[in-house]
Amino acid sequence: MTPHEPVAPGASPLAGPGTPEKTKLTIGFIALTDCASLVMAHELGLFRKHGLDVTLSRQPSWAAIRDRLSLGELDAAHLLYGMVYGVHLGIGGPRQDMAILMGLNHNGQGIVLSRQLRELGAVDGPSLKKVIARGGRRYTFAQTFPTGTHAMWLYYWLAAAGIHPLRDVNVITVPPPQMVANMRAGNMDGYCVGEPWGGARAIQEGIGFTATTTQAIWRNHPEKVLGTTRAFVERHPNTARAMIRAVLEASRYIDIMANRDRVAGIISAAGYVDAPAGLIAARLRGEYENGLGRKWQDPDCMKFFNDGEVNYPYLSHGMWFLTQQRRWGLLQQDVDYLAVAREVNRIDLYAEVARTMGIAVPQSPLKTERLFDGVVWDPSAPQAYVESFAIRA
Amino acid sequence: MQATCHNHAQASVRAHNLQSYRRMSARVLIIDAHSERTQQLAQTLASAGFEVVGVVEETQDVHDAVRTLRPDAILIDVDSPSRDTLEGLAVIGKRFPRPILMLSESTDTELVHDAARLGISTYAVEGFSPGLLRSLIAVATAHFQRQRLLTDELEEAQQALQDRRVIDKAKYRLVQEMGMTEEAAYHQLRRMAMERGLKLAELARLLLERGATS
Repeated sequence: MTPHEPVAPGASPLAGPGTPEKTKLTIGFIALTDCASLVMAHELGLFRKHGLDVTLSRQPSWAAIRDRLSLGELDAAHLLYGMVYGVHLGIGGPRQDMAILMGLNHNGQGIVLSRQLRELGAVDGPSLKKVIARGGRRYTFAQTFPTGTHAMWLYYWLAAAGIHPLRDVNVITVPPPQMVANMRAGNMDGYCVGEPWGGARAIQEGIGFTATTTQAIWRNHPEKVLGTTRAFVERHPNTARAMIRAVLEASRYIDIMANRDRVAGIISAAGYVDAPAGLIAARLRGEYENGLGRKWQDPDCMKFFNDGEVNYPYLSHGMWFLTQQRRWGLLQQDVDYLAVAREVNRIDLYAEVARTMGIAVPQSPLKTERLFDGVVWDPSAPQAYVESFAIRA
Repeated sequence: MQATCHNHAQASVRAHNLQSYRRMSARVLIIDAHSERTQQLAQTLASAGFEVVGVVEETQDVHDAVRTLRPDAILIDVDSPSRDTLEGLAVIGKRFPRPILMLSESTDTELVHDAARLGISTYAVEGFSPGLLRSLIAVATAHFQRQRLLTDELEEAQQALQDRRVIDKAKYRLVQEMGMTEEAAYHQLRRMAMERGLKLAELARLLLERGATS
């Protein structure tokens, strides 16, 4: 800034009551297409614009992200929605009060089945059920983290077809980049994962096909979030606001479809997703094929903004993951679903920032939704929802 | 019992006397990408009285190894992607080790941090004795600290040797090309390095590179 430029009062992010308490940040991410808004906020200089000096740090596992958030080596991270709740409640590991600042994306994950399963006649849930019922051997499916989103999509989809994910099949946890290799080696028969490790890769290598996209399970479902510990937000509320603002601007940029090839090119770099740009770009543009001969343009491909609908951390979304964790026995008892979601999802901070940017904020943090099996998720009755499922732990 | 283990651990780490653990037994699995350093760790743990039930490379079937070997505790490379596979087992039930981020005594948090900085992440079954857990992490941490020191010393020695060779070579070139005495050549090199604010070895390297391209 030159001395001649007039400075509008309050316009500088480096002055006034909104000054970030901590400006030098390390934000963790996993090599997946849906880390795009964090990468673009960095590459477009949006973090800097809002007074933050951010280092993006690629992490080898979700476990490493959790530990480094707890130890303070990471200030915030790209996180699986359900995992944040798992850590908050201490499921399968250390308990740590967590905070979700905003949603990062909707849609864009997939369930892939092996070529062998197709040869046996499994092309969708109902036909997979028949193959499994025939017996002969036990089938193994993989997800990416026990409390994460892929585990919940996989379980929900199997159960909707009458397949009990904890009794009728084996489920293992496999790091995303290893999915394809594991299926090629015959260690598993199917998996749920995010792009670019989902369908595109498996189809290209001829080892499997996309049985369903996750947007076909739940149109515009919540997926990854920007999260941190509650302690971080309490100590650095302005830093949290600045992160939300920068990532919202990046999200808006990515959802302009004309920008998506450029986004794919940038995030495909070795330091980020480290995968061929073409592979990332096609599905970011909504160009899908399932490996069984069907090609389509998907209007519900991965979304990053959708006028803020993606980013508002609906309490009902957090509650949904809790109901599924309860359903599958990860949570041993019922919890006060709404109260826990209120602890974790910082709708206050998000709404404050979004309003100043002219981005719509929903009137209610609770939204009723219908998934692909026709079952309605009514957040006013979470316990009844859990109990309504015939197939559960 | 716990207090005894605690004191023993500190004493033994200080004295590098690991024999005092002989009486304790805990089944430990090591998962690591670097097989050499892992074998050394396995030996250290064994001499400290831990039963190392297996050493698995992360490219192997980690899921299967844990199910078959049934360890009480696992030491794994902090940056191994296979850690998520362990997380998947940890939620199944009490028989599988869970991630450890804190020890029960809050003063020991620093030990877990130190271990993480050295690249060690620990998993242990519920009910694993806190004293024994502390010992396990302390022994592994001390092992890697010693190893790192040795590695650093080795690297330093190698670097010094390499620098000496480069300087000698540059000196020899000056002697040959300029007809200088060895001593004059050395002083010339030192003066040039000082003028350019470079280390002697850096200057020698530059000189040799330039000589090679001209």
